Amino acid sequence: MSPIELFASIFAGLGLFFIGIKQLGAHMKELTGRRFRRMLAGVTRNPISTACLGLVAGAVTQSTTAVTFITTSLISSGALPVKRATPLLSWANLGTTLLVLLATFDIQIAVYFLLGMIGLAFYFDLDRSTRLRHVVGSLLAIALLFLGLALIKAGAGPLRESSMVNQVLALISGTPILLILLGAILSLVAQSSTTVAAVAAAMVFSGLLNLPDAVEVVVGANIGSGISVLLLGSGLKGTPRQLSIFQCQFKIFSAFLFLTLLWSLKAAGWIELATLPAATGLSASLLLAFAFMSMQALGALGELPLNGVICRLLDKISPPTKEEAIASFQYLYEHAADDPSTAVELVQLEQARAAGHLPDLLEPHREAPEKELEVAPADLATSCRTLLSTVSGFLDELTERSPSHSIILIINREHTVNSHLMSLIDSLQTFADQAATTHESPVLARPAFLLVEGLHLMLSMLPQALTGDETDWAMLQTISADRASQMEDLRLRILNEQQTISAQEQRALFQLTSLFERLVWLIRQILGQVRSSTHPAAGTSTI
Amino acid sequence: MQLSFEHPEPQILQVILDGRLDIIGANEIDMRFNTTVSSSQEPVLIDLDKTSFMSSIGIRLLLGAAQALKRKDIYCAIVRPQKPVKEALRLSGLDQAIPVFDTLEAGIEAAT
Repeated sequence: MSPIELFASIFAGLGLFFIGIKQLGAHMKELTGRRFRRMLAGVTRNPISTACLGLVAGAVTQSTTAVTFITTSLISSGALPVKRATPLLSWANLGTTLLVLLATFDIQIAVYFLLGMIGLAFYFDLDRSTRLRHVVGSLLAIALLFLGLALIKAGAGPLRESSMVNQVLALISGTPILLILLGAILSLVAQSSTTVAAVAAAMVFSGLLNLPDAVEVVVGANIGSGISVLLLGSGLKGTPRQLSIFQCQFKIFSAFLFLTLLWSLKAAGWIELATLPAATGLSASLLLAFAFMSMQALGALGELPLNGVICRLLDKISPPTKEEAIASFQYLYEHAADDPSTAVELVQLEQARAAGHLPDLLEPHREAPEKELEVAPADLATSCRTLLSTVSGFLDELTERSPSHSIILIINREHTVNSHLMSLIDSLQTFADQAATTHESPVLARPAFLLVEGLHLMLSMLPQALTGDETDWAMLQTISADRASQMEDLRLRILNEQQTISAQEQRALFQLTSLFERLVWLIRQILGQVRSSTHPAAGTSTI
Repeated sequence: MQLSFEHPEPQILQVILDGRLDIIGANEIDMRFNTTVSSSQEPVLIDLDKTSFMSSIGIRLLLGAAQALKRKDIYCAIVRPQKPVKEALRLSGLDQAIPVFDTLEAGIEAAT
């Protein structure tokens, strides 16, 4: 393989890896419903089942980088709290080493089979099925991720035959710092300490490397793979970033622990690596695999009692972002569904919380903005959608658990409110985008500001109307009366008063007023659902 | 934002809002406006003749006071809004909840 081919292979591998990670995160968000979360929450509550899950995940994926980012996507989607994810990851590190030991799993062939099966799924339109599309999407993302890793490994593999690498090895033999540095660099390139450990084992087997040097290289590879995860996760923010930081410190901590133990044993004269194969009767490559395994095991066991402290530190280093805080439940809790009637009230509070953020979507388009937004409107809308989507999943779970017909009716009503709130966010974003186009128009700027202000008023009253007393509800019901004729009047008046209005402005005027009409209608629909049982004949309230 | 009170008729409280009723203006008058208007035992006419701008927070201030008066069954109306402010009141739907009059006289007549 020429240097260009080698670089292209690693570069393409990285590209596929990034696509896979991003797509996997997106599909996992849709897939990780409450039932899956409950299952994961159950498994990770027990330290032994967590250890088993981590070992299997590490062994199957053959990459702690992949496990880190799959777990990160579970954290992002709210399926797994960081405190339970960190032990899982610790054991996954040990899981990956099983394959260095066995060294039989050909991941590339498995990925090809997986891609073939996904291709068939696409052929049979399973990617369009509502039930299966996210499963197919997730599998494709996983296949791309592993294909990327396989390409990186394929690109990095010829390094074994490189004469330059061999010369460098001869030069640095017996110098721990340089050997560790080499291992770290190789691991950064290969994106996997397991690959480097496997390559090192092969070199020990072929006599290119002696056992003491190979152990130092593997220690470096361990540190390098931690740094590599940290670099790959540098684009993440908040809680999802915590796992990359954890993985980096885990790898460094386990390497440090292993080296301390090894050097102590050497100093005490209890162990001599160079003569260990002869003393034990085991091959040097097998001993190297054991060394790599014990490094991960030491890390996993050493960090078990420190997990709480580490998680608190991670929270300080990369605290949850404002977007995450908005998208997470503030009132609903893990066992809230056990008491359906209280749960419905908590759902209403979460919906009101989402509604409370909606006026901010209009803030940049007001004539006199009144506050600095801490979260960009687009991110705010995404967070509110995520929150409402999670609320919707919770309502599904509540329906399954509720034997009472009256509660199911209330749940259905909350489902409708939820879906109207989602539509409100979509229409509000379109309205805001349209309003942004009118800022420079001498004809439309003023009416647009007035419409924005009117909507801002109604939206800022919505949270109280959802959860507050009857007066708040009645007041909003009154001011959100049908606007069809009012908007028609506004259109006609502007068109009559302004002789020079362009076709583009006319179109913007029509869209803006129609969207305003729809948004007011949606607010009215929400109000109708909220108190449909207590206010069967919702009237107007004139003071 | 300036806030003053008058009695155009012995039993009617006229609340004059002078300036921009945005977040700054609303904060300036909030306490005094709410205390006086909400505790009024007489019909209240909120005079917007000198109000040049009204944001949603300003409209909520008026709505809040009007709601408090409604609970005591005391009449409340808005009088003499300038054209841009009147348009803001109309598009926000406030005119559906509080009567709006173009003249002070019309407001007094409705209140008595």
